[in-house]
Amino acid sequence: MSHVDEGQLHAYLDGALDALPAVEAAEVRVHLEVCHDCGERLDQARLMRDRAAEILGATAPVASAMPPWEELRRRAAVSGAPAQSPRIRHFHWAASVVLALGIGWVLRGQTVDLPADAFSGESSMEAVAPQVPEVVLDEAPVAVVGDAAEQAGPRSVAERFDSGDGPTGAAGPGAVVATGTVAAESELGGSATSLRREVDVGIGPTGSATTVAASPTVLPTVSDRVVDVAVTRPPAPTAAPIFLSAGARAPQADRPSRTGQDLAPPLPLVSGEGRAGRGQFSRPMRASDEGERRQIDSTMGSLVVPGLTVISVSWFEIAGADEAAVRVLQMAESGDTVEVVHLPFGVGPEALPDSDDGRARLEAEGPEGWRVLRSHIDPARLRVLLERLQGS
Amino acid sequence: MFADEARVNHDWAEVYRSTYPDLVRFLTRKVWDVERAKDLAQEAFVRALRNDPRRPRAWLFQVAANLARDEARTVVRRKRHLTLLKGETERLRDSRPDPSDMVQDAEVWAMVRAALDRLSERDREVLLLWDAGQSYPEIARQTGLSVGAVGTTLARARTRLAEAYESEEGGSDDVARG
Repeated sequence: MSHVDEGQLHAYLDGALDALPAVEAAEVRVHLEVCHDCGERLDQARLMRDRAAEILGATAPVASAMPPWEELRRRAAVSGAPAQSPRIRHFHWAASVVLALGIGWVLRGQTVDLPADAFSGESSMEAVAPQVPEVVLDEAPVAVVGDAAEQAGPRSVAERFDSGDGPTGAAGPGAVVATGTVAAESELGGSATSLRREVDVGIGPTGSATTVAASPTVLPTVSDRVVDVAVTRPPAPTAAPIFLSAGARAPQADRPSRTGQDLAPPLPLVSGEGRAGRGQFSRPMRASDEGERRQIDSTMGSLVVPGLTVISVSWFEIAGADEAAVRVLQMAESGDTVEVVHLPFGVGPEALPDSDDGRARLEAEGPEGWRVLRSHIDPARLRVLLERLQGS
Repeated sequence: MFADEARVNHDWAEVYRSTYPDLVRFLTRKVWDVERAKDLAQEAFVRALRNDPRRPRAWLFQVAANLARDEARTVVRRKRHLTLLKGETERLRDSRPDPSDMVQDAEVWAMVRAALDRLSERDREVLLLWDAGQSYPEIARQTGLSVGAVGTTLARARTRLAEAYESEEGGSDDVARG
């Protein structure tokens, strides 16, 4: 054969000769064995390849901890739409408000520009319903959410609120075990606006998870609290984590309703950390307890980093402490989660053990107690978030 | 490109473990911001999970290239993600936990970037894909080249990169002596 060309020389060096046709590869190998000139060219090509690798290597990123795979799976489950628009981001936040079911915490969100008909009822719901994502609360098993995502498309949200279907009669997946409304007070353009949103608690597609469906209402700066919950069957105490299923179809009739002081035992907030065997619990609260609600409101304000999207809020017990710790999981713009934990007054940060998943950790003491931030984002960026939180 | 092909079960955790570092490496030379490269790599994986492509690694690199291209288009609006090399130097210095372990002096980055910019888009793409661990067939699939042409393109790209870098180094020395 004639001499080996440059491309073949580099393919040989790169160990890619077998990607070429077998005859060609064999000829190249034989030729390089016998041709002195091509042997020298091969040496030159090797130098050039190594030099190029060296140049590129100068800008190679240093190996760093990879975000946990489960976190990406969760993000994939959370962000059902290909692109996450600001409106969808807000749905994440608005959906997290449904956590208030049974605990009545108050969540403050950021003011956003809304269409003029944002509060006009079904038309606005219908308009935004196709963008409603599946939302995972806290640390729900991804597999469950994935199943839910496949079984309940976003369109069914609009269908549910438009059609007012009767009870499905099913006791298995999709069956609603409780329903109620969350009252919301909102300020939009300086004027207070009130509205109510329906929520449903049900059985997830796997039969083991509890689901909550919320009407797709976008709320700007808001104070939410549960004012009316009807319960036909409370979730089991050790139920799997609640997750939001925007597509859950809920029966709307033949359900006894109780309100106000007649409120049924509060539904427990079941979070990933609240599962049996973890030694932690959720802390249900009554909406009527305004003093405690205000206290929580105050705490929340110091735990939500301005500009970040709240994913979930949970309470958990600290051994030896009289009060519970508050954990707010938030999503940074990069999509990474940022965990902010507020420890009760008098409890040091050592009470919250280090995570063993490579997350950066920052601690800051404030007048109300210690706050601990944990995230996979760069430590320097996490510090910026802490400073932003302290300045809020 | 691959989404329509029959789906198979993947060990996604393993794909993630083996591909993520390569993807970050590839994207770093695209967006010149390590943190942004990580963001985009994660976004590529999130999309892959939703699409479940048959050839995950090839699909991920294709999506990553598209994300980087989109990033470049919006770079003016997203200056905070753009490596303005001088400012990036400060940022890297601020954020590096261990200077000896962290990426390189900004001057070297600037020279490598300038040298890469002198390559044709195709040469640069092939070179970066190879450097990120893509095989010849994978590079061929992504760039539309024949497998045989990949070696030829790589040979040319490597030579031009080395020449361009030497040129940048010379210019830098001139400035330093100047």
